[in-house]
Amino acid sequence: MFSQFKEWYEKRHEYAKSWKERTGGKAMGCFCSYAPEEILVAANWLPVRLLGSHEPQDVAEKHIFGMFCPFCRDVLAQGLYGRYAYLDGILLTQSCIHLRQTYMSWKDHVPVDFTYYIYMPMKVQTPHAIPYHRSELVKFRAAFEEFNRVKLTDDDLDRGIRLVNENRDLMHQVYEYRKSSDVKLTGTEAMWMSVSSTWVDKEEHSAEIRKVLRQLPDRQLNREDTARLMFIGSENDDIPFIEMVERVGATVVQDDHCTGTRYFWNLCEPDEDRMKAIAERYIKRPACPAKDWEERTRFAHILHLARDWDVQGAVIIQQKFCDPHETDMVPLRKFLDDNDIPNLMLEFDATNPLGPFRIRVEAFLEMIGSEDLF
Amino acid sequence: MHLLIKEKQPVMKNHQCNSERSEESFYCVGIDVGSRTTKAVILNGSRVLGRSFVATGWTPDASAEKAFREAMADAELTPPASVTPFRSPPVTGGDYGDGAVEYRIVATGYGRVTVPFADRTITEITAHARGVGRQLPHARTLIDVGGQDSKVMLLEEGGLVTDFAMNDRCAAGSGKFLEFLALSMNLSVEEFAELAFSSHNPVSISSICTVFAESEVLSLLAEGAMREDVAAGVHRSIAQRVAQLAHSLHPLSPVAFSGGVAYNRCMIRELSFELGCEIIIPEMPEYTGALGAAIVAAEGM
Repeated sequence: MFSQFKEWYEKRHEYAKSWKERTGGKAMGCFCSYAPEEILVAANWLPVRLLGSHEPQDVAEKHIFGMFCPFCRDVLAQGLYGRYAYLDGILLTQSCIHLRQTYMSWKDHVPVDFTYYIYMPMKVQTPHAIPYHRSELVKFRAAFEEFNRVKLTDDDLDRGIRLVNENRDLMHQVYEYRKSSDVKLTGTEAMWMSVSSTWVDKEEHSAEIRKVLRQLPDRQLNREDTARLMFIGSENDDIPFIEMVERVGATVVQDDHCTGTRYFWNLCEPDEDRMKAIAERYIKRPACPAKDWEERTRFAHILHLARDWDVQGAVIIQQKFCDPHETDMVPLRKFLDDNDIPNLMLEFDATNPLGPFRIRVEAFLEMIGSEDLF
Repeated sequence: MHLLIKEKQPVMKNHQCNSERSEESFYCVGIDVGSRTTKAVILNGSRVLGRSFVATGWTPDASAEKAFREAMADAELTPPASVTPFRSPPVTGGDYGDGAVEYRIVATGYGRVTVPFADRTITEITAHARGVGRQLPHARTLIDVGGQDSKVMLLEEGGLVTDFAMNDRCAAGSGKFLEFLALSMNLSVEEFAELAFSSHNPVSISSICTVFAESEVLSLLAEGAMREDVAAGVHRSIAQRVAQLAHSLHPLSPVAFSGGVAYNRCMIRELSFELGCEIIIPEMPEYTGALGAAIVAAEGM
């Protein structure tokens, strides 16, 4: 049922290249989930979230210091290897300095026609954030229109907002099927869907979700006896890890990842001022910890997800050297403990040792189900 | 899996089904296949009938079988001719007379998945916790310094784990670190521990990496540092790493220490120093994991 998403996940570059051939459209590499996709889709561009390959690489070290996160180095390596050579542009929306460094290096060393850096506010809670971000998006729109030599109309923007919102809403509907004990999809399948949505054409992706939604109600997975877990962390597209977790007695039913719920959770609310509507959507979305200082609004959101999806425990997926998430680590774990959500923290690299991780995950599952080991 | 093996002396006779049998007719086996050594414990009710201790080597499955057979012999039970029949479907009822007894086997340790005749596997975290829960029920924190990793667990009564931490991706703070540095000073681990214990002035070892620490140890010795002070410094370095793990969990007293390294008097002293509390040691701490696995087997009876 989820095989199309899996194929898109596994053949992301083939997909984007073929999309360009089929549609004649252009593709924008986006370094972060804060990229204003509505504007890109309005101009018939394909937003492509830039991800790593989880393979050892030896090309990024001379551009990025080794204590920057493995994800940003893995992403840059993909650019340097030419795997994203089909891109027509790259777009950074300021989130963390690690991805900014990746963007800067990419701009210097990987040929691409259009580059743009949106100075997104770092403190999204301030009332100034929406007008500030709106003005930055207006500047981006002007540069983007100039590059395209086409002015975007309100109708174009409405179409962009509608297509992106539809996709978000459909993923929401799929996530609803993870709420009951009779869970209708695995976390691995959800990951194929949500991660692939970050580069697949919104209309095509939405059409595939609609097909899935027609079949899900009758699906029987028989995973009632597994432990219900939530994943928390930054970017996470590590399929072998989530597959392992779901093989040893758990089902991942919810996540707080920027390749998962943080990417699609809230909609762009209609407003006569389209640019304000788009700015507001990104300012008000579940925050990345890089922007969640100092209120940490994300914690309440995580608790809401954990409660509503009835999770028994959380696995915190900490990208090594990811400073924003490391900043949150101690208070986040205390917050989860205080709210009786057992949690396991694992430090992730671009490549991960599944064996030692398995011991920790199994021990965690034994801990949360300790009264019924046999 | 349940299995039938003839015992030298019949334990129970003429019982027709599981539900009618007393716990004396069940033998619970815990096999702890560690990265360095494999331990087995045979429990009957609350009595330990037999134990064994063998090197794991490169063939954890063979070591598990050897440990099982030796523990059977230690318990004066007749070992089976082959462990192959253990792979047959579980025996779920019927006549258990004529001296036949039922076994349940739980494997733990890094090599647990290589034990084909185990009924189930559990992680060493749960196994050590359950073992100490039986041996030292009042312990609230448990430290196990294993061959390739160290673990700290917070416990409730009965050895239920409420939280745990393990060292990641690095041998610093593990038994292997100790072994490696003992070797660099041409000593057995036991000699190294006793030499260290004689020192009251540990030198500071700043390298966390096992390989770099060896270079540092050799440099310190070349500079004329006392061998016992260097050995004690190595112990303190490991204790500091383990204490870091423990502090991340907010440890509670009493703190117990299991695993073979708990025989090491210098390590106990240094852990006690770093954690600022007394460290309690279970009897025969190298068997705590295997005992815990056997206890989990008993819980399933």
